[in-house]
Amino acid sequence: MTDILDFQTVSKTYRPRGRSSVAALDQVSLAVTAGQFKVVCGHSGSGKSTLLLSAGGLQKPDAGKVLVKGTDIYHLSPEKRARFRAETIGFVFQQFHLIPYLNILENVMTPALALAMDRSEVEQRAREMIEWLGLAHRLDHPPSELSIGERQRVALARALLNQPALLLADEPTGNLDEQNSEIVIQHLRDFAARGGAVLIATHDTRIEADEKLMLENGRLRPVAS
Amino acid sequence: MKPWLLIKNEIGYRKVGFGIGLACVAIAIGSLSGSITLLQAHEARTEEILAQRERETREEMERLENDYRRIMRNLGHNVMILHADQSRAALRAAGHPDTYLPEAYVHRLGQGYIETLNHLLPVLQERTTWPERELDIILMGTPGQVPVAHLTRFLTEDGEAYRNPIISPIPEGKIEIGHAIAQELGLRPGDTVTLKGEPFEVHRVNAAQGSEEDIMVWCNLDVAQRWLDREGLINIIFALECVCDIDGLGAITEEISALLPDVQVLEFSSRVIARGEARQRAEQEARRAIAAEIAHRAQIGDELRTFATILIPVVLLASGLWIFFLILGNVRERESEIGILRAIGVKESVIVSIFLSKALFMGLVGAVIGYCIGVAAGALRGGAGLFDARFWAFFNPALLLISLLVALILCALAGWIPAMWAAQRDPADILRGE
Repeated sequence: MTDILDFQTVSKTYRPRGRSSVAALDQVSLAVTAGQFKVVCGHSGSGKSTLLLSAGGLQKPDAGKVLVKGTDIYHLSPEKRARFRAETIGFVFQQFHLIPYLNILENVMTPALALAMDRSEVEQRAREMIEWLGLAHRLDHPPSELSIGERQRVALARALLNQPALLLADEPTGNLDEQNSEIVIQHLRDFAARGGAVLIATHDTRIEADEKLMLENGRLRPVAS
Repeated sequence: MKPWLLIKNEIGYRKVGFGIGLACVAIAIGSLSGSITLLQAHEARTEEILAQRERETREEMERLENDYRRIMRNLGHNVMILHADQSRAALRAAGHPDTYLPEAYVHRLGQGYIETLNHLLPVLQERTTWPERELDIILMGTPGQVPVAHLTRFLTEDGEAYRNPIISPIPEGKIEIGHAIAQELGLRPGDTVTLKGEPFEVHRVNAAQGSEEDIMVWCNLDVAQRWLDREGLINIIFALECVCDIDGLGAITEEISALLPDVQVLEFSSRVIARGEARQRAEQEARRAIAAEIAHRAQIGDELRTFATILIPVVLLASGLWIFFLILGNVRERESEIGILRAIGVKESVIVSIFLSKALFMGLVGAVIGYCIGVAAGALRGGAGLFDARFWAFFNPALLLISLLVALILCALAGWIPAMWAAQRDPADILRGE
């Protein structure tokens, strides 16, 4: 299987002014192939977010290579990397980051800002996505009128709009109850089952995955299922 | 999906912030357009006032013209009565008549009950030499004012003299001298001089006139007749302040000629000149008033301009800073949004355009509001009524264009740094910050 994400001995150290440096990633290597559902566990501050942001082209590591679909994303110019990200990578965050003044449909359509896409096609796809996530009855609602679980599903729909090859989810269930967590995780699994690569960073060790890894002191180690 | 949707919805979502921004722009542009309109209104009002003053001056001059005619008519004519054979050219050349009248003529006139006559002054006038001082002089012999019989109320009981004559007889043994003679000979009232072998006391030195009067020596008529060998003769009768209609010289001449057939009457102090001078003075006064008004209005205009040149930059700067902080606050408020937009691949330029477009839209709307309020306030303050055509004339496209340009530049400058800051925020910092 082709590696969608190939993390090659990636290191990232934070050097806050006046404080001792922290090695968030220490020669981390990781690969996620198409159709794979992989989880990185770790306690708060272990570097999970750094790993996801580096994987998503949002944070350049100090050393190592990050290949997405064979492209070294940090060798791209910022403009090209932004476009590459828009076309290839989807993000889901713990805080959803929904835009409060857009309704659900408009929020799901926001990735279209990054790509020149036909509006009717985008809207059609957004509606399908929303329907798939069971939110068809909430199309015109602003995020403030949605439950927490529904908000995360909207965030998921937004991440999947451009049909990315890689989905990066940072604590996607961090704010959800068990039932909603299960729904969101199930949708992520469905995405992987349709050929997408999914990498989740979470402190929740109960999530079942194709491969589960633990990030501690900047280093990854496998976790027995 | 277009960035405009984000701008539109965000404005609706954060109405208060946008409203404050609009108010800032409106105040800045209102100050600008209001000050310019006020200056324009001031200038228009100045023109109106000056046109009105010009009109009033013209009307005043016409009124004065009529007044002076009336006044001059009441003041009457100053005429001189000469012998009928007297050549005017010779009179002008010699400076005195060379024909003579019997002294009795003046008394005949005085007793003639001519209603137009008020004051009669007989004179024997001749150019001669002051031999002791080797000086050319004009000798003026007069007995003083001769009574006019019908003016009994002004005469002494015996009717022989005026109680308060406007020209008194020269006292015995005294002379009056012109200013130039006094200067030349260093004479003062009370000095004693010898004239044609006779001693005289200088009774009075007349004020400088800038005319031949300055070389005149006034003495009693008897003395002058004796010296000039013109016993019982005079050569001029001055008839002063003769009362008659505006064209009354003909009437005076007719009445005098009826009594004295061999005389001619000449007006020697022109009413036209007097009236012209009076009119000129009044006109000068009016012009001075207009010039003072122009200066006053110009001063107010300068003060307004000075005030505007201070006020406008200060208000623009303050508004610009306020807009800057509002947009900066808006950027901070929307960090999460910026983070996710960057994460999903939205380019920096799109982020900049979202914030900058909002700032420019705010400038556009604020400029229109500020322009309308500013122009209306400036026009009303400048004296134009709300329902005047003049009021609406102040709303001109050029000023609107200037207002729009200034507002757009102001908002672009104020919004540029926050917009760039928003675009260059590290999304990792924002997203990791959760």
